[in-house]
Amino acid sequence: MALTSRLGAILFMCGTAVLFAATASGGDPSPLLKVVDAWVRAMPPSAGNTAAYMTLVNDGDTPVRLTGGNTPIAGSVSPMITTKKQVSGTEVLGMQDVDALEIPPHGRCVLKPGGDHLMIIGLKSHPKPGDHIQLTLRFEPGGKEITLDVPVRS
Amino acid sequence: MNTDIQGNKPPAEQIAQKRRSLFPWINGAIVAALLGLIAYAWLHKPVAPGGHKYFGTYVAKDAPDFTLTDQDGKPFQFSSLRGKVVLMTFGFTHCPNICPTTLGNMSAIYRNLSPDEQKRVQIVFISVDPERDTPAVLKEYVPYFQAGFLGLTGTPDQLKAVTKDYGAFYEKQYQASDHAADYYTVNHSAYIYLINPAGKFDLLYDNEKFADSKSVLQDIRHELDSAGSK
Repeated sequence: MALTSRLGAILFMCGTAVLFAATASGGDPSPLLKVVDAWVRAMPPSAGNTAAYMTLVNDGDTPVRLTGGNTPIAGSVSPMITTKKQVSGTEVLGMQDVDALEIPPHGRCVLKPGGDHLMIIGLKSHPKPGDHIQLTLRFEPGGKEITLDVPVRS
Repeated sequence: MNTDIQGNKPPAEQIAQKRRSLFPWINGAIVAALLGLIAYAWLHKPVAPGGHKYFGTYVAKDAPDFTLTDQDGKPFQFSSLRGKVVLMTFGFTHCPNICPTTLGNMSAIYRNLSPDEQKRVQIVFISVDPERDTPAVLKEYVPYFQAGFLGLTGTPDQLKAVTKDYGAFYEKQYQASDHAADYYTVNHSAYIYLINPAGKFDLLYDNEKFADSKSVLQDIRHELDSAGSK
């Protein structure tokens, strides 16, 4: 049976996050896009890949797309969605790389374990819990980049 | 604007009105169906001796035996785990998201058991990616989450048989962008199987349910207790 994947999804509207109202932020001239609670999963030395999780909050009036990023510890960083399908009564989970994860205007996009995530592919080093890694996120429109210092957790 | 000369409403509003009049019926039907489902679930909730209500889906059939290769490269017969509560799942080590989440949850559950209970519980991770997951790879990967966790793999034929026996599923999926042409991930079912000390495949969890480690822990303790009192 077909499912959300294999549609060559150019763009994936993040989760059901549209329901969410933007958080108030005191009236500061805060940036329109915020990254909250970002972390990267510590993986065993034999693992080639890991994932980054975070909540992206868009306080602006237009959609923002997370198209990927980069990190010194790995070859590439790719937005991934988690797919579900039924194969003769069995639920099968998979992942599908997408060109972008969309953060709706005045909404948010939650990347969390078991769900959509940023896959960090081709690890060159294996940071341990408690370490921090540099992670740069790239957004459209405009090709804007945000560089974060992201904690590593197990 | 909304009404024409004859007082007829435009088609869009007629439809809207029709929908409105149908709503109470549809709502009523949905509520009735939901109540029915709840009643059904409640009546059929398996209650184990001692009043324990299973959190996992009650399966209660004989766990099919199999032989695979363990992380030391030695043959491993599944039935040698009789006497223990086994929590088993299928996955692959290149998996960045679902598998480490499940193994992390297994580790959290395991750490909440007493040392005595830990001796009677075995976690088993079966790789469905035999091409990349050699015993050596599994040995670095599986015990990382918790010392004592067991990683198994096998030939494609062996794995086909085991997954079939347990109603599990896996398939390769090649990913398009940014990767080498032969880069693939594995789509797989992500259930967790609880096999009790008597060798009964007793309970099944999906990966979301399994995240409720407290409730899973109660199922495990119940299985340990009922085995101990026999």
